Amino acid sequence: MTARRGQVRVVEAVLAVFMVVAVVLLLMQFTKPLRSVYIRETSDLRRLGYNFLNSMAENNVYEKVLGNLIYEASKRFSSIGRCPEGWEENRLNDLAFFASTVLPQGLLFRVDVYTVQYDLAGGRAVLCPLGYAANFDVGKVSMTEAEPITYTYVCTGDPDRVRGSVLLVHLTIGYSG
Amino acid sequence: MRGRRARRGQILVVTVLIVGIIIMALLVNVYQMHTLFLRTRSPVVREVVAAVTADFKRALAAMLALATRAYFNYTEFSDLAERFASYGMSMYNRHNFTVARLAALTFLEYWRRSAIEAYGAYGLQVSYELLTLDLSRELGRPRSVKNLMKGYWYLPISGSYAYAKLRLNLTALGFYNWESDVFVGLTLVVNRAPVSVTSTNTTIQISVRFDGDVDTSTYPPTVRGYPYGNLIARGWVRVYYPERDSAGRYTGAWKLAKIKDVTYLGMGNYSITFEPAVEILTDPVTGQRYAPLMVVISDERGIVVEASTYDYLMFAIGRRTPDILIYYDSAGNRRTLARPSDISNEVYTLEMSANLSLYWLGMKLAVDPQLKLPPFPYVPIKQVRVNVSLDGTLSTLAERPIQYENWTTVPWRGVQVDIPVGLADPQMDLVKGDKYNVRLVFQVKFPTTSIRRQYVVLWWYDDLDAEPAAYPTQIQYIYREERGQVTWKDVWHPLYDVEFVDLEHQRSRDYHDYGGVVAFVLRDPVTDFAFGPFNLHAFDVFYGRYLGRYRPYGTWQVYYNYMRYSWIQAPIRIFAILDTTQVGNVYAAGDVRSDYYDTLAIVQVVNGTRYIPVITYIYWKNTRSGYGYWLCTGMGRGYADYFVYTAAGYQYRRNQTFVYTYSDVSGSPGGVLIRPDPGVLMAHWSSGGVGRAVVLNKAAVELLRSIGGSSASFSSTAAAPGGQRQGSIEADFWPYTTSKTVQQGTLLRYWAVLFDFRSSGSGFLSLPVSSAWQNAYIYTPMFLEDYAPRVVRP
Repeated sequence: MTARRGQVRVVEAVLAVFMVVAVVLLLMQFTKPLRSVYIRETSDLRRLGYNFLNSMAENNVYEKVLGNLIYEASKRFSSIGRCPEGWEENRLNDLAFFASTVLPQGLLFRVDVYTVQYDLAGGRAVLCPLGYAANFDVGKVSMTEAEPITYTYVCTGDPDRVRGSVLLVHLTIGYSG
Repeated sequence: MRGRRARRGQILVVTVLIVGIIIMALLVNVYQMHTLFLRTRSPVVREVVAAVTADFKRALAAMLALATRAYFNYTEFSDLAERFASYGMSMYNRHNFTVARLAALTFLEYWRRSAIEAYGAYGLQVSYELLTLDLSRELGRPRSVKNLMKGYWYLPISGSYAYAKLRLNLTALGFYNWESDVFVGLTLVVNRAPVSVTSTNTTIQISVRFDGDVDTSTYPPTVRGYPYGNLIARGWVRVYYPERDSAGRYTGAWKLAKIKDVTYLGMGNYSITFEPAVEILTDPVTGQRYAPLMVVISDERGIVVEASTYDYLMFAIGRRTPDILIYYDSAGNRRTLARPSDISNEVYTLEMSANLSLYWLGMKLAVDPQLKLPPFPYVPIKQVRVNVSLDGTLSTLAERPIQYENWTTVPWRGVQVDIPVGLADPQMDLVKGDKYNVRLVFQVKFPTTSIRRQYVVLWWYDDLDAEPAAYPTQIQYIYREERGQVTWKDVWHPLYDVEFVDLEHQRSRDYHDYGGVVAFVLRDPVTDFAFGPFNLHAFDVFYGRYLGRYRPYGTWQVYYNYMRYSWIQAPIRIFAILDTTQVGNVYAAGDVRSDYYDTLAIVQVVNGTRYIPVITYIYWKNTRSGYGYWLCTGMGRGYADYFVYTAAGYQYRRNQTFVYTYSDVSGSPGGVLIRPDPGVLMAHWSSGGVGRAVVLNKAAVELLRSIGGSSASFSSTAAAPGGQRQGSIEADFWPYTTSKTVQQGTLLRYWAVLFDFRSSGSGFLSLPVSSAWQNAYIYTPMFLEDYAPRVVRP
């Protein structure tokens, strides 16, 4: 009689364990990590940003839109050995226009472009800003859930005077707020 | 007791259950975290890897564009090339793929470092490895990319390629050991024969491929390009056709065709129609028809490829020297002389200019009008090679030494004169120039009398890395200074050492001080014994002496190695140039004048031959009178026992031959034998059967007559001024016993060839020593205008 009671308790205990595990699993299904929406969103933004930068690269947009600035910055760096001053405030309107037409509405972006000057004498790479393109007033509006994307680009398209130039592009893409 | 034991069992069960639940919960949690990490990481990894790989590919493409654009036309693409001058990619190095490769490697190293910094947030580690990629599937011949990049141009299937294996880690994202084969390339296939030729247009078809999938299942990996469809929209194409003169002969220059239409036919194929109509030629070996064209393309990345529709120029050299020679003995009896079947000394040192003319002894050779020789492509000189047959059949057509020289045509005292200005820069293009033209120098041998013509194929390496070939040579330039004095300015040859004496090297070793007078002394190549000089020209005598007073005075310029490739000695010939307005006196220091005649002379010491050509130009600035005027003299320093000259035919029979002994010379009045009517040959030799001849060309013989009249003479001087035995051979406009006048403005253009002969041996007849001159005579025609070789169809 005692032995039979023990067996029943074991069966009850096993059932209880199954129930607890089932409840835990059920709870875990509903329990997502914190800010999961943010993670999904930023990964989409990143993919979008890279797609945008890649499509510009494949179509030689950098050479076409920034060719004169790249050439001028390289020329000045070659002649005076340092970057032109104050260019980080340049508004790259053509680039901004191109980005506005490509990126979805409602997104804010800022693209900072630098030429990477290889200083053989000094054995260093120097970043010279060409300016930035944005579709918002960077002094007044702030971005939320913004995603920074870094991209390097060796110019391969025409004209020859920029072919072989190296760019560093910082894209920040996000939402207003 | 039993109840307590049962409770302990329950507690144990509960403990096990709780621990199990905790472990399961933890496992589930870890799994979930892992999947979340992968889900969030993979887009970043994918995008960063793709971005870095794509940028590396762009960097490769940019460097290949730089190398190929500079190689094709540095000046045209200077906007790109000059920006990389600090990397070494200067105008000077425009045809140096090694320098281009080093520039690319420097650039890629900077790129690598800047990429690591740019993607530092992801912990990027990037490197690349230079591996071999087999291009044989792409080019249809065994070729490969090694050491980053290669160009294979100037053939109907040509291409430019770069390849490396990229390796990267993203340590911040836990991503390691990514490898990617990065390949950029552009291939151009030009169909040899045109699709159609109308009266005004030509239509050709080309195929273009780019990049391609690297197949790593083989070792080394292989590649096959993708059809390129953007040539019209984003790239460009040019067609060059050969220029022809009014007689229809190719000039050696290329002209840019006017493209009327380019049609994309799909799969990378294009049809190109251009003006003008181009002549269709036939390959003499394969019988294949081709239109002589060069096609150049560029893709949107700037990578250039140059292809031509043919890969060599072929012609034949026909020998025109007689194998039965006629002469007259001193009594005027007609004699015939059969050459031996072994005529291995009949070696022609020929020059082919970029303007497609061929020369022998500075004389332009006649070309069969049926022979159509298209120009060389825009190929750097260093890539050009020559094959020449040995037995007159294609089976012995093999690579032979070639030398590249730079020549110019300059006005000299009212006439156009071709002179060499040095060995060519091997990295320059072989193109027809307005002022300078490269001459390719090679030798054509006729070892036996049974061979009447030999094949010559001038071809070019497709590899842009090709270096100029270094061939073994037996000639060597020796320049040596001892105690501030130049003691050696010699060109050493196995048969003779040629010592150039001049202002720089005035004292011939163990011989005379020439005080700046120009000559060259023939010396024994083993013992360095001086046999005496060859004097280029002389006028008047010095205080009644019988030796020439005013001889050219100046400095020899000797050319013996290549620019940039100084370790490569001239394989075929070393030449010395004299260009002077002064004359000087060997016998009186300071007796230097500028009011007599100007001299331009080109002396060649030629490998593998027995001859030394001396091409001379003389211009008289003033009218002068004097005793004795010599066209040239060859001294003997006593080694000669026999002397001979042939008559020009003005007073005796043409080629009537007169042989003298030394006693004839020494017994002549004043110790100088003077005989009239000098012709093409004069020679002296020893009783040991060693001899030297001077062969004068027809122009020289005519000059002797036209300037000297009946005073023109052959002479031989028995003794040197110090009384030592001399025994010279001299060609005189008039002898030292006669005074005559030469008029201002008189211009002389002629050549003389020194020829070393023996009384027997390879390439010679076996003759009694008194008749040894016949071994010079059997080779005399090859140095005469009338018997110059002819360029014919193969």
